[in-house]
Amino acid sequence: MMTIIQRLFMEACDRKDQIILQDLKEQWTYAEVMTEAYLIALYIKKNFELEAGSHLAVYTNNEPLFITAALGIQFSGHVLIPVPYSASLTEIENILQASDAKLVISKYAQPARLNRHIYWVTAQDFSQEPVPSFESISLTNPSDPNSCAILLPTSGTTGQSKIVMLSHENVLTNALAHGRKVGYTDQDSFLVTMPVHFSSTIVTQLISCMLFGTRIRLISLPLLPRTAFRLFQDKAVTAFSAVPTQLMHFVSDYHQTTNWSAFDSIEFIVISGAPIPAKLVDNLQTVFPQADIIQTYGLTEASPRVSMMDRGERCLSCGSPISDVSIRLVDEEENEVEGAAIGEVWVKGPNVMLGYYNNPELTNATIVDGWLKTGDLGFWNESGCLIITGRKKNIIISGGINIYPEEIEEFLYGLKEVEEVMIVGVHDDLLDEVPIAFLKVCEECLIDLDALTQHCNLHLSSYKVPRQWRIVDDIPKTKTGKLDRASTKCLLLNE
Amino acid sequence: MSKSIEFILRDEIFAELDIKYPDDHNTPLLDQGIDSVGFIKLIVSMESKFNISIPDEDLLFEKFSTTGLILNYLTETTI
Repeated sequence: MMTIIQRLFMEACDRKDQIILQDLKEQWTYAEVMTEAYLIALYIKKNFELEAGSHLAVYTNNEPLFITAALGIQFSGHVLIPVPYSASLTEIENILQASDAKLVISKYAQPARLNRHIYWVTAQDFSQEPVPSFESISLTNPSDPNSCAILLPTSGTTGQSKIVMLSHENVLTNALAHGRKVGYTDQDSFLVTMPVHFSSTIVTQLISCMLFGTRIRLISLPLLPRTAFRLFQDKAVTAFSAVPTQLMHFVSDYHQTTNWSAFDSIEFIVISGAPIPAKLVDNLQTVFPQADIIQTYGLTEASPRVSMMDRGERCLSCGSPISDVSIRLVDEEENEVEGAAIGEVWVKGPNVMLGYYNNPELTNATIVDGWLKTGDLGFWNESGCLIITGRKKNIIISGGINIYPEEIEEFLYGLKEVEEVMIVGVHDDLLDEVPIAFLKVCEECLIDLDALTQHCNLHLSSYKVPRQWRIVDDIPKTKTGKLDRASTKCLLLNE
Repeated sequence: MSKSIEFILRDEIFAELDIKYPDDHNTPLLDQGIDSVGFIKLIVSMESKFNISIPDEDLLFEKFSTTGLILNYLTETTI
């Protein structure tokens, strides 16, 4: 087994003059990316006395500097901490502190209001240095492939730190397995639409593309649909990954003008972050008629990919596990469930994280005998594919009956008037909890709530029918585009 | 000119998007709770209210990260 940089450098030696990275203005070959990264490594070594394996943060928008800085950190034998570019200053301070960051690499100078004393390196600093030749790059004192390579602050970082430690082996095996299953080739050109600090962006997009010679199109955020559409129209992109929210924006913007014809250069779209409603898949077929929709399942703690659909598969699910990864579905007594029963998803394989940084208690509670307890619930369908039904912690227990909010949401998404929906549980004196619905209604649609309740009564068990409907302009989301159930529940509690 | 730009930004764009308009022009909008979708809405709304088209290469969080930067950008673009 190799380290991330050993493996990527090997690929770069084979594909030296091939273009691997492109933004809106420029493009870079493997050799250019590697020499730029090596320059950053040399600059850090020359100017800072850091112990091997120090934690260095990268704070950038979606831009080439993220890749060169991240690789530079790997060349130096240090550990990468990707800091969300959309984080507030307080969040940045918390992340830098909790992860024991020694230095930050960014395009710009340290924000004046950032209340932390830390080495801060900008692109300007090392742009003065002479660029080394590709041939001069030497990989000395490689790290242990089982040591930590990346520290990832996960979403929901409130209170105690929850920073995932991924090893070189975690990252490389996952990037390779994902890339093989999705079928990246050196003829593909992949548009990154998600922020670079996501584990799925780093591992299954940036690193995976570099392992398979797939050109990375990296464009600063915010990515407006029209910017992506121009690339699609010019057939400059063959694939991309997105969260469902982003795809909803794509579909609605596509239909708002008559400027665009179907984007038939897109061969596959990888869905991550949240389950995709079936209605959205139908809508995507109009916009991207040639594209395979590949739904995936993963979590940062699993590097992140666990399972995914095969190319060409039409039946929507989270597919089968990627190579070398095993899944068990277990009940409350931790026994494997039988048949199509719902159980908690446990994952084992080379993708299971080293643990949470500085949090052995949480690590020990999460990884038991090598099995990662994901807290997600799912079942195997008749084709042996994984269906995720929801988060264990999202369950609404109403009169002792488990209600999966995601199931009711999926049902409501089937209605043409419903653009977005979120179901949360609220306290009820009698039943403990009952479901209520937040609805965003499609533009120019009127919705008759009595008729809606009747429709639900007809198709859903009575305990699943929302007791209350709230029409809202926007469904609350977290920064990663997921439904923000937690803060919505808090708001409801305070009413 | 600049005052009317700020009026549109504060009383029309920010008000319609339900974003709190900060007292200090240097307050990062990210600290006001605006997220990536919020930024996209902000840009689309600015384009429509001021009848401008922001070129792709200007579409960076950091160009619009405070109301001060937005006002400068709009002043330069709309004059």
